[in-house]
Amino acid sequence: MTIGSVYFFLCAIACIAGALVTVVARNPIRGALGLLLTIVGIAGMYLKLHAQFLAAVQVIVYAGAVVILFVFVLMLLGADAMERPTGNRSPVARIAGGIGIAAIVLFTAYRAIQVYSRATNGHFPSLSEDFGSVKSVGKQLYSEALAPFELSTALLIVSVIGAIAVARTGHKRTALSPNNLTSAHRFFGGPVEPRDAAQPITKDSTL
Amino acid sequence: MNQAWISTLVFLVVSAVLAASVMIAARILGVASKRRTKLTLTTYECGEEPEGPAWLKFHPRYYVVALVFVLFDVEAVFLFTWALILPDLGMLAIVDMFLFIGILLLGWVFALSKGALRWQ
Amino acid sequence: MTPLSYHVQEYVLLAALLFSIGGLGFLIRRNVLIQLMCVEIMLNATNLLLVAFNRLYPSSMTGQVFAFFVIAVAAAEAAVGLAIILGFYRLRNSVHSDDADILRH
Repeated sequence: MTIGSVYFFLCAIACIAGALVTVVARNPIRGALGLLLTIVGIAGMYLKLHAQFLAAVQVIVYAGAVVILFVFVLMLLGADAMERPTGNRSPVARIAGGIGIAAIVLFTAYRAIQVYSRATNGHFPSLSEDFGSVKSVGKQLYSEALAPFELSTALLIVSVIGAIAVARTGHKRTALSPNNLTSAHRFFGGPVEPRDAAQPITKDSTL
Repeated sequence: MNQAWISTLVFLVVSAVLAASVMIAARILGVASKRRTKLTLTTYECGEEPEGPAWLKFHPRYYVVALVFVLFDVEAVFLFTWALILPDLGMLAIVDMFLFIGILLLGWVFALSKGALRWQ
Repeated sequence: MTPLSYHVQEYVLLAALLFSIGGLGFLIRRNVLIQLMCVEIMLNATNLLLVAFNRLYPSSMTGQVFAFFVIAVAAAEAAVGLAIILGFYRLRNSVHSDDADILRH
């Protein structure tokens, strides 16, 4: 075991533990934090693979924007984001599902280990100094990948337009006056305006 | 040979040791009642009694703000790469980046015209 | 045994495990938010493979550039997916994917 192996092992544990937390979490906020652990573990892997720039992008875009967006939506939905318990599954279905899941995971691991034990190549070669640096990635990005770069703008713009259109449906149609019910009030089934600090929060007030 | 991961490993180890040592020191040095009664679990006398759930609903208008943040976050990553290699590239890269920003500004104009950024 | 993390196989094994965990989570969970998170885990697993194989064939940076685009696409996908979840919640007042059954009735 070298120190590099220890680092790899720590990152792998972080990735898999985070993914498992995401899958089993009842509370979706725990799920979002598990996803964060997975993402940070993969950023650590990128460092080990000499992809320093990608590690930074992973932390900036994934951990800094995507997970934040998830947490935002969880805060918008409030406690309604919890999954309601499903008590209507028969024990036979549960056992069959468990066996199926275990079979898939074990088969994946078995195949991967089988391929691993047979492989003779796959050893990483030595690298030049600037492999994975911002400059080397950027050079390729702005020379060979110019067309996808411009197309990614179109994708981003369409996604934002679509998201605004979906997230604000019916906003113009219902007048937003304090006397009226707001569209958010109507759709979200309760007052979601920022709470008046002077007004005490009681158990009777709907949230 | 670039060894960026070693500094990360050192950082992880130092932060884990610091956090663990503070917690262990608090456990050893701290004076705490051994008995766990209902009274030890209540808020200390200077605090207000918490009432209602802590998980409040936010207003949906914050979602659009987060969305615009994601858009410009991705744009910033592209811009950062572009700025570092600008000396090596010619006029084409400059034109391309202005095209990129121009298309993104279209989305911003759309958000403005829909009133998505208006704070009411 | 050779030390870990100097072969592409370790990364393939890890990516396979992550991908299957994410796929299983997508299948067994009924909370659409958790399902979207599982999709993100699967995207991350494929990204890891791209970067690992670029480390194996380091003559060009294609794998890393591709992974970079995948990250940008994932950000767009999360934005639209979460907006759809918000719309679904407004419509049915639920985040349970079994409730998305208007077309069935």
